[in-house]
Amino acid sequence: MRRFLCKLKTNILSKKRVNVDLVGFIIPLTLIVIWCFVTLHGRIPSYILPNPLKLGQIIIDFAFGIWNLTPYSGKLFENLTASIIRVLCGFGLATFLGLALGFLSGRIYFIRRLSDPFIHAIRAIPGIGWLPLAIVWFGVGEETTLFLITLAAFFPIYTNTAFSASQVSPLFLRAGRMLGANKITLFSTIILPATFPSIIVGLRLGLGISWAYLVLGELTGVTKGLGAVMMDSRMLGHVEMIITAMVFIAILGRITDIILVKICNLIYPSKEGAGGTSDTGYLRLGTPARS
Amino acid sequence: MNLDKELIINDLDKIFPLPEGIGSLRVLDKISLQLDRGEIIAILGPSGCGKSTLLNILAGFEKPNKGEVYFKGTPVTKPTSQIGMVFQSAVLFPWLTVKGNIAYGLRFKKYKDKEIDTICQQHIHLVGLEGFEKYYPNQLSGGMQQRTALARILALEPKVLLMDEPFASLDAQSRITMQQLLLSIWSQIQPTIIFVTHDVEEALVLADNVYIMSKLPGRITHKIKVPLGRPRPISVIGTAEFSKIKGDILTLLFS
Repeated sequence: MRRFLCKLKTNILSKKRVNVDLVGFIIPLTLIVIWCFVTLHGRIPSYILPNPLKLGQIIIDFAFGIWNLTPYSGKLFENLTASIIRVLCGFGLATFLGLALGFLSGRIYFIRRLSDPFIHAIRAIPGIGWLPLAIVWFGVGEETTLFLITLAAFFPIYTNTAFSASQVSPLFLRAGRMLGANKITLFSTIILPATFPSIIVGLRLGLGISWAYLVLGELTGVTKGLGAVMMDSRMLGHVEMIITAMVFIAILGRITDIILVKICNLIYPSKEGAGGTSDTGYLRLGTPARS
Repeated sequence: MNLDKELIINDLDKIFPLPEGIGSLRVLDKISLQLDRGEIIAILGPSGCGKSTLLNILAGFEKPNKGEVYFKGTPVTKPTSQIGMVFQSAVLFPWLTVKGNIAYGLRFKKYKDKEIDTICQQHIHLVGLEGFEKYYPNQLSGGMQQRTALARILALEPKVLLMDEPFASLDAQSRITMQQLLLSIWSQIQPTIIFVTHDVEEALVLADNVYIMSKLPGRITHKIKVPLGRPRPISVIGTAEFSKIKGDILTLLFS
């Protein structure tokens, strides 16, 4: 933990964080200026798009309930918790299934022959295509949401784990056996660390997809959750609340991704040599490459 | 069977099935060798003559179709740290530091953390990697990677070292440095070494006996006793005796 805090500190203090590329701000700032211009002068009515100041107020009100501007005033926390729990359950289940099946099919040729064609056939059905069937099976609400998240997040985790597990260099395994590893320690000391970078890619993709399918599931009808807030707000004509919920989903998606990478970094610290350059880092924040 | 010998290789055959499923390829043909404890032999042969296959069988990674390998009188059937292999590439674990790599095998033995530390330090010193303990393999030069690989296996105190062209990918200077390092390590702990190479000079600098293998199917065609004394400094390459025997071997290889 101390190591983690130290690293966080150096990350924040390092020059990289100070030298932000200002060019990246041009497009967002321009959009905000245009947004202000069209909304504050009444070109676009506020029931289509609220002005940025109003939106800021609504966001603060949603979080702290100071002004009672909407029916959701001060209800951020309960909706947030409901959504986070759903994502954690669905993503957790998908991680467990994806890693277990991924390692089995990546390392055992017979299981790969047995399961790979089936899993890839299922994968070809877009996750959203499962929605009607999920509603028939599980009814609208909680179970459907969980099912959709788990199903959708499973595939990137499984695919990345299975592929990287099958690609572990046989020389590593020979070296490990020669140096005294048995079947179990061979897995924990060689296969797991060798596949770890790809597993993280899978987990990060899976987590991103979890948030997407959370919203889809919640739109179908749950009482609490950010997706439910969006859908209800549409019916109640509170477009500013739809955007507010979107903002929080964006923030949460990013925060959970950062936490995931930090946890992974704690399990296998990035390769920082005596030179101390984080450029050789095993894992870095940023967009994972799709594979 | 002669139990005084450290390693006995008895009549090994290895046949690989061809990928198309028709016929098969005989890679090793009746290979027999006997090594005394502390002996260094070099195996010379053209590429693709089955040298690596032979080492893989000796290390217990592959099974021969016929014949046996005995180490101190017991058959070798699976990998053991008593018979250590140094691969052509260092095969270091990239997620571990130099020290982590060297400690890897020690962690499976009943050592305390402190003892592991001590053994690591000894072997880091032995291969001359002081100050690089915390480096990761991708931050090291090829020569330093092979030093780490050597230290990693030596830490487990193997009795036999199998070396599969370990210095082939190094530049000429590093290769000579590594050969001298290997000789200095040998003079300290005297493991039995089987050194596979295609470099005649390397074979002559290191070995007591040089064996020449033929093209497929791999057979041992000649055994040459190297008449050079030990210690064998690098200057031995310039001597007339060295040049003569090198000439003889080259003639054998290309005749």
